[in-house]
Amino acid sequence: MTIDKTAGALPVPERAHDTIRGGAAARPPGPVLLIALAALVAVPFVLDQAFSYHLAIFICINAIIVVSLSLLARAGQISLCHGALVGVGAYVSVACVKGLGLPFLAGAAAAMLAAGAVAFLLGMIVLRLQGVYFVLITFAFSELVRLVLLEWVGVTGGANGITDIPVAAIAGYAFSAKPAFYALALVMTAAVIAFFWFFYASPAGEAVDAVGQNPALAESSGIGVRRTQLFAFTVASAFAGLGGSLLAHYLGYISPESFNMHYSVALIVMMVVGGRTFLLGGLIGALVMTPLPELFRGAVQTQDIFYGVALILMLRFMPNGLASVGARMRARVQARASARDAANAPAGASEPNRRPT
Amino acid sequence: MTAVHDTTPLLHVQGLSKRFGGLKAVDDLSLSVAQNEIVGLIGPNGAGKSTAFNLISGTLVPTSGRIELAGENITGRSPSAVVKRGLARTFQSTSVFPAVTVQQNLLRGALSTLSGSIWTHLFTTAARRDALRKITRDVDEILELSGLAPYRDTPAGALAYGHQKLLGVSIGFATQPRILLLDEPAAGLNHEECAELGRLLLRLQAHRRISVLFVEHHMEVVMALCQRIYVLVQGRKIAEGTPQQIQSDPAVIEAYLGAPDDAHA
Amino acid sequence: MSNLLAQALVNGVIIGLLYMLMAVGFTLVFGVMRVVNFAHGQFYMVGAFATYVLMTSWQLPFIVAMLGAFVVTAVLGMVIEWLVLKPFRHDELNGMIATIGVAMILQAVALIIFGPDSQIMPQVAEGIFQVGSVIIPASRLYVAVASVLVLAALYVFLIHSRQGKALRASVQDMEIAMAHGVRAKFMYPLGFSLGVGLASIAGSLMAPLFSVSPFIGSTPLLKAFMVVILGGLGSVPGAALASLLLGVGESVASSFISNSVAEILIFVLVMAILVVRPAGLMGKAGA
Repeated sequence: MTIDKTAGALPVPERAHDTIRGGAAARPPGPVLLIALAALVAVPFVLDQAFSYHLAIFICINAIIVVSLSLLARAGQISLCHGALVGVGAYVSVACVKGLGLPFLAGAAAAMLAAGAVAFLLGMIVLRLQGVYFVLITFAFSELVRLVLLEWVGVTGGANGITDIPVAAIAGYAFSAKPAFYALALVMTAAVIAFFWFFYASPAGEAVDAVGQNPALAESSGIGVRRTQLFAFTVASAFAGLGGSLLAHYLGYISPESFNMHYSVALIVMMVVGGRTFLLGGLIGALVMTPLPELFRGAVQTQDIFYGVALILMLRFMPNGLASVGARMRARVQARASARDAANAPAGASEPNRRPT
Repeated sequence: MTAVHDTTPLLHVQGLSKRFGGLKAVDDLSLSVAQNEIVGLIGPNGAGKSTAFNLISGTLVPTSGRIELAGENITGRSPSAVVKRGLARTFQSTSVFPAVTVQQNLLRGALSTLSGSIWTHLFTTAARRDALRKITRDVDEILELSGLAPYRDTPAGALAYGHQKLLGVSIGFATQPRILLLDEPAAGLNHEECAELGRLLLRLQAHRRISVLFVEHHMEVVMALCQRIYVLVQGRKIAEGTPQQIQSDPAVIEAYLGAPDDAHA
Repeated sequence: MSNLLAQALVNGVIIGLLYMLMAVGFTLVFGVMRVVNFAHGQFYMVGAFATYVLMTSWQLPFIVAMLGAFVVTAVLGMVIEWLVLKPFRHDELNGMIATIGVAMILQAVALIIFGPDSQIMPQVAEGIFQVGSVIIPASRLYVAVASVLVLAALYVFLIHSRQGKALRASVQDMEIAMAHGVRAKFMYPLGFSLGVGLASIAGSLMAPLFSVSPFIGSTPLLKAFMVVILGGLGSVPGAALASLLLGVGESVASSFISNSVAEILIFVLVMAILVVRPAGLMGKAGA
């Protein structure tokens, strides 16, 4: 294997496997990772405090929402209305459960459908344009959703929001106790991550990554950029809707301000900090950033400065997020081993990389 | 789908033009490529060759003109739609996906041959699994043909430049096109690598009977491989013919071949 | 009825001129740096606050304060471009996300220094003018005239000065511009600081009409976005036409329905226009 020493860090593929991505052919998570995850999951049960359950539930819900945002990022787009779509899901779920008396799971499904449908319609119009317009329009759309939620008082309760939201319940069992809801959130989060694991191992996931990495080449290889991004936006938004449903039926109260631009920006920060291109990046980002407001104890401005600085520093020095640390270390070990092999090899076989003049 | 006779050209371009503001980058270009033919498109820098490629492959929309592939009108269709109809193109720079392995690069090229769209690619059926297995076999075949099999699991960005260019051509070939448009595939290659590229093109053409249209400055590659050549200067076609005819055409010599700094050694 | 309409039209044109300042500056930054500047609204806020401080603490007359604010914002822009955005000069997606970070920081700093309350600026002009049945407060006329003058000055700079021509060439195509001797490392800070300087002027002009607070930056940003979506990103004539249309449209709509509903309708209208004309009103089609 020839190594180009002039090209900086060796680009490491996420998974090196020699079977086609057509199913669960990706490398399964290693034992260390599984044990770490299990330990993490157990912490709130061990501490058995209301507040640690509360935080853990939020981490799970944020993980679902940020992992879905990463799907769109992997397809090469950034959405500033992701938080607003969480809100759409929340309000639709509440309308179904509180308004129509439907069970929680139906509300959650409706939330996913609604958020996905809204994204699909918006994407159909917007993704025909040059890529940069997408982010501008999602920004405007986020504001639009906020206004609609405020103005459509009959349905949404306006600025006062909606209170007394029924707690999530499945087959008669109500998840009103925090440990119970945490278990529900855990199961949902695990299901979502499993979905994305299969997704990224499928040809659909391959197409998404191709479009995000080199859209012109993907398009010319027959992978339609517009179609792929529309798909990614729709699916990502559907899961945002699911997150919204969980939020609504946990908090018991929602209002338009919960889903404003600040929230959408916080989701982006979580995604960048955790890592856009890694499956668990969303989880890591949620894990690291969710407890932060507690740290800042209401000093919102200081917290915002921290968010802004963290964002800029991560983009500059660790653009693939905290999740890339493991891959980078592995790459460094690999490079050192290969350099050692190359040094020991008799006749040098390395060819320098050249570019045309 | 119209029936294709052997006399119908595979690619037929008629009166193609593109204006950028006041500038006419391509002016009333007509060309055709027959089945199983290798055709070259040459001309000095800025002659509009890349623009012509972008127009034919769908990256740009023509101001006027008509493009037909096996009798079917593909003018103005998106690049991915054109690929599905059998016309693929490669790029001069960033011709590979550097972050994934060589094999994955080729798989991405082959994805377009899967039936259905991304909305259905989530789900696996027995038919889908068979199709994927076939794609894996096709990719292995291309790895052998291109000589890149030893680099199967190497990240494409770590390949030597010459191999990256070969991979770029192979990705285009993986889309199972009827015609492949190559944008300066020999740029930056040394003599040995050019020869290897030439051999690859001939192998690919023989293997799947595809046609090739390529833009090139390396005259020896063009003259050795092409059955016919078009010469473009400032957006207009000034000559067409066999390599011998082009080499002895006075207009071409004056505009292009005569000038030493335009033709790479 | 026609009085209401005429009044709304005049108000709309005045607002449209301010939108134009925002949108042209935003388009300039995007044109040169290919970066969507999410902090553009915060530079508007910085301009407003700088004007406020210069007028109240240093007792400077309005015009001087506005120019002072322009300089402060342009310098701040240059510093931010060099410190934060320079590493992303060829990485537009991450550069855009970085501007989100800049926006957060600017607003938070303003909140810490000035607190959340709105500050009222001293009036810059007294009295009203009356044309027929249309009433134009002198302060608004002032704003309109100043906007026109600034836009005219910008036009002269871009068309006739050496740096302005270089800037325009960079917006068209940086590579070709560089091949003709334009120095990219000057164009980036120049383009950015000029762009945000225009936002600052818009902020200075708006400050006496409304109030000054750390939160005033988000709405102008949204307006700038709507204008470039309608008019086509990278097209200055498109931005000019679209800003006037947006200003007048909003003004007329708000005469009959609430502001919020007007905004919703305008968004829906813009989406409808995009369905029919994906390139915007005058923008360039294609990749």
